[in-house]
Amino acid sequence: MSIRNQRFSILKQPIFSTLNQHLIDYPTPSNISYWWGFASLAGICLVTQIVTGIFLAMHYTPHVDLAFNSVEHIMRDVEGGWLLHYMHANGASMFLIVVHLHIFRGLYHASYSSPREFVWCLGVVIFLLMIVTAFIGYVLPWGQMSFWGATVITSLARAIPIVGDSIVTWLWGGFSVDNATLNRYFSLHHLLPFILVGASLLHLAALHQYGSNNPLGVHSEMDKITFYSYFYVKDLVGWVALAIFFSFWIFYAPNVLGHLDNYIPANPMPTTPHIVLEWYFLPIYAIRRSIPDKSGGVAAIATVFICLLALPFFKSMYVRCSSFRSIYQGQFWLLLADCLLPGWIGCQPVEPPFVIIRKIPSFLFFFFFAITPILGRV
Amino acid sequence: MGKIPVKMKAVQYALSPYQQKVMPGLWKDLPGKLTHKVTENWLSASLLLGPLVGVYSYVNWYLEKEKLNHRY
Repeated sequence: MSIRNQRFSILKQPIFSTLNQHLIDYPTPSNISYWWGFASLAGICLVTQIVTGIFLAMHYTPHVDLAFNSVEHIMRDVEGGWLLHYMHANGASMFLIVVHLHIFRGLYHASYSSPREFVWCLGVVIFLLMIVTAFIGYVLPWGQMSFWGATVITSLARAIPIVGDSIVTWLWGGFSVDNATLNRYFSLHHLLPFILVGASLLHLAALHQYGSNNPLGVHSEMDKITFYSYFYVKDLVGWVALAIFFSFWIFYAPNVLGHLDNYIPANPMPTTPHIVLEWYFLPIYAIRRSIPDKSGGVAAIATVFICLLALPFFKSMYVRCSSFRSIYQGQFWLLLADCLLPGWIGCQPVEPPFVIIRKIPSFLFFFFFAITPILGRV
Repeated sequence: MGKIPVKMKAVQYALSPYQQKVMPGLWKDLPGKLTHKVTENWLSASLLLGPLVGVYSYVNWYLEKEKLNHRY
C-alpha cells in the first residue's frame, strides 16, 4: 500500500491498526468450536461489571453507618437502581461462571501447553485478581455476611508466619473490620477492575502473538480465517445465550446466588451462625477447611494457584487434544466433578458427614495435578 | 527440482458467514445429535456425574440414618 493510500485508510492509523489486527483481521483457526466463545463472553461480562459499577458508585456511600442504607437507597429510590444492583451482583457470578468454563475448556484442550505458557499464566493471574475483586465487592453492601465473610477471609492472612498479623492489620486499616476497611475496599474495588482490563488486554495480545489453539490441537497455520466476520457471528450465539441466562437470574432469581443474611445490616456483636461465602469461593474455601491446621489450609490455597501456574511447565504430552487421549479425558471429567463437589460441600455446615467428605476432593485435586505429567504421555 | 513451491497462506473462504445458517444448523437433526452425544460420551458423563450423585446419595442416606437414630 502506498503512503498516500495508507494515510487515507482509517484501519492503518495508530490504535485503529492495532484494533484491526486483534479484533478484525486476526487469523483464527477455522475449526474452533462454540467453547472458544467464552473468551469474548468474559470480555462482555467485564465491561458490563465496569459500566454498572460506575453507575452504582455514583449513589453508594462507603461509610459503615451509611453503606447498607445507600444500597437500599439504590434499590428503592434510584431510577433503575434495582436493575443496576442486580446486574452487578449477579454479573459477578455470570463473569465467574464464564471464566470457569473458559478455564476448563483450556484444561480439556490443553491450551496451556507450548507455546502458550505465558497466556495461561496471565490467565491464572487474571482469575486470582477476579476472585479478589469479587470478594472485596461482596464486602461493600455491608450486610452481616459481608462483614463476617470479610472477617473470616482476611483473618486467613494471620496464618502467614512472622508478617501475618501485620498484613491483617494493614488489610483492616485497624484492629478490626471497620470503616477504614470499608473505605480501602471501596477504593480497591474501583482500581482492580481497571487492572483486570489491562491484564486481559495483555492476555489477548499474548494469545494473538502465538495464535489460538483449536479443538484438534494441531498446528493450524494452513487453515485460518479472519476473526471478523466469521467468529463475530459465531460468538453472537453465545452472547444471546448468555443474555437469556443472565436475564433469568436478574428478573426471576436475583437473590438466589447471594445470601439472605446480607439483607441484615452488618453488626460486629452477633456472629452469623453459619457463614456461607459466595459460590465461587467455596471450592477454594473447602480446600482450606479440609486441613485442620490454619497455616496448612492457607498453604493449600496457595498451592492450588501454584499448581495452576506450573501446569504448562510440567505437562509434556505427545498428543495435545483430549479427544484422542481417553485416560486424560477421564481424568478431566473426574477433576471437574472434584471441583464441583467442594463447591457444594463448602456451603454445608461443619458437621458429619461433611467433615470427612470434604477431605477427599481436596486430596484428589492435588493428586490429579501430581499425576498429570505421567498422564500427559498416555 | 521441477516442483512448484506451494505458497503458504490462509485459506480463502468464498462463503459468507451470513450464508452459513448458524442458527438453523443448531437445531438440524437434534435427536440424532443428542443420540450421538450420549453414545459417544456416556463414559465421560458417568465419570462426571458418578462422584456427584454418589456423594449426594451417601450424604442423604447418612443424614436420614442420623435422624432415625435420634428418633428411636
